[in-house]
Amino acid sequence: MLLRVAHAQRGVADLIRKGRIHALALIAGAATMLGAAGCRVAAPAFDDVTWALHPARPVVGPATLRVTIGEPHAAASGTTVRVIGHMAHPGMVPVIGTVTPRGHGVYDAKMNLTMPGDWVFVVTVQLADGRRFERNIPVPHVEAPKP
Amino acid sequence: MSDLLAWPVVGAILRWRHLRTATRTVLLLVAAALVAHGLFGPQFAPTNLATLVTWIHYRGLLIGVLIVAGNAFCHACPMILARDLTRRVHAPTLGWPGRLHGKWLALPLFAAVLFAYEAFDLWAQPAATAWLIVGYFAGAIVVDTLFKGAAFCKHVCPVGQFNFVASTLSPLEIRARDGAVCAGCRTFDCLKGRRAPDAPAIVVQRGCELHLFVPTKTGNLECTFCLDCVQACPYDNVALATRVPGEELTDDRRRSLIGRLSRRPDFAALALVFTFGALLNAFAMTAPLRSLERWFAIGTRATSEGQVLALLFVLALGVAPLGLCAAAAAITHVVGGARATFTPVKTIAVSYAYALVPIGCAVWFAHYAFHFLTGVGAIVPVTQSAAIDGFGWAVLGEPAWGWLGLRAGIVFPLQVGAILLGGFGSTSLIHRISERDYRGHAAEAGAPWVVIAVGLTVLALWILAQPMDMRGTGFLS
Repeated sequence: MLLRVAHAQRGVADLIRKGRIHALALIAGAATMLGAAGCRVAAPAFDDVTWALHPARPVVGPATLRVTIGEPHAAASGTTVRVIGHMAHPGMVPVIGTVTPRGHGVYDAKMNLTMPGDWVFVVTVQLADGRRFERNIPVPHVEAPKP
Repeated sequence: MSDLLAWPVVGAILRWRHLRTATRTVLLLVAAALVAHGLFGPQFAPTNLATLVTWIHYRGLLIGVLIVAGNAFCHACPMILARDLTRRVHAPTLGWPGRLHGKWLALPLFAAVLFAYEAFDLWAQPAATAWLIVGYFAGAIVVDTLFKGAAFCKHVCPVGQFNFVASTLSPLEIRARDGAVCAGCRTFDCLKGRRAPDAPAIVVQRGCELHLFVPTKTGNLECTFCLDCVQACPYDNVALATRVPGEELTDDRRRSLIGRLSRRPDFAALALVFTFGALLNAFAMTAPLRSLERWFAIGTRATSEGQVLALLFVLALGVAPLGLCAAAAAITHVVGGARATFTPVKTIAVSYAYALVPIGCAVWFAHYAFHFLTGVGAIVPVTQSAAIDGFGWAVLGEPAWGWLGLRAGIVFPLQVGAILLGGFGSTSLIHRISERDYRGHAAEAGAPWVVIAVGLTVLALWILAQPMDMRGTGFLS
């Protein structure tokens, strides 16, 4: 029995020695995963925002997204709003909206949709105190303009 | 022939004993990061590393490196690192089942991955992409801890099958440096592995896990560029040599493990799925696909997109290539002279099917290169975005979405050039196969195949000219 245990221990040590490069690689990989998972900070909820798209069913070309931020952030000074239109597919060139504040938490973002397909507008609001909120607005089935 | 292993710096790097472990470790860490961000990061494809790196960077680099150099991604495959480690705990004892030899299992798996990509909008699903990566690793570990050799690479891995076919167009291949040296070899270390002189039972350097014997190996099919044979050969007689890309597809000599290409319908079927899959994969990103799907849905009364796509896949990857090749082979059988008359239609079809690989590879390249070249810079804002997710503030700065890559208009000529080059390559291979098999009637014998190659080239150019239509927000609505 003792002999078997010793043999097993030697086998494990041998295994560790032989496979230490591989083991280190796996441990590093696992650490990366756990680190990324553990470090993630949950974004604050962003419920008090409404939006309207014009035209409601946009085609390729210009569109305007009106974003309205509710109280208490509506009247806060130093708030910045950014709107980026992404295709559903990664790696596609996004459309960066030109944002104009209209007062009382209302912002108009002019977008120029460049291709048909499913779009998502990412609205990022940064408050003066550094807090930031984000919302994804699906804009599906954008079609090519009719000739 | 120029041998890269003999080049001053490159040769030293390629011969470095720990090169594979180093490259595999790097890719393993990348895979771990992608899985982590895919599972725990934002479930929005354009801002997630899993979807971006897997579907834009990895695929673009994969096809680019295959065409420029060779099967480098199989060489650096991190799944081999993971299964090597598990094999230290549990060594495989089983041989691969005889009934499953060849590509008949890998073929439907390859098609299934192409189908899953479209049916489940994998490019738009970070978590699903992460699970796909995990699934690949799990598959490699399970298969290779059960079965000896490189069973997963050879018989299962869909990416490996893609790499094997595309690498037939690579400018480099592993081959014997001097046939006379191999003729005098009695230990066959490149195949069996090098053993310790004082303990012959112990393999100190494994040989080819895919059972390719270097002296009779021809081309890159089934070769993962692992360089085990380079390390194992006691005579330093293995070269990583330059060659004419695609030439091996017209070489019908008996080759190690594979035999004659003209007698391997499984490899020919893989080449056809590779070629027609390229066109279908590119077509699926265009606006006319939606119209076609609607038309199919009305005609077949299908109730889901999956059913319509399944029908489309059966037609595009099954009916169309089989029908076209059967018709072309039948014509060659009739007009190709006496030798063609005595050659079975099936053998003719198998011989010529490989000639379509260049146009297929060109379509994959045109498609993936477009995404890579127009979106390569997205890695910067997405990494910045991931840093914000992780730390809660813009530690790497605000995501800079300004420049992502080349404009589509600049890439388009490159795509057109690739397609034309692929069409030219396929036509050239058809001519060479015709000259090889039906001398005196080469033009007539090859004519129907040239029609197919030209037709696929025109179809590819038409697909490139269509407006793109990106789908995949169903999960958000």
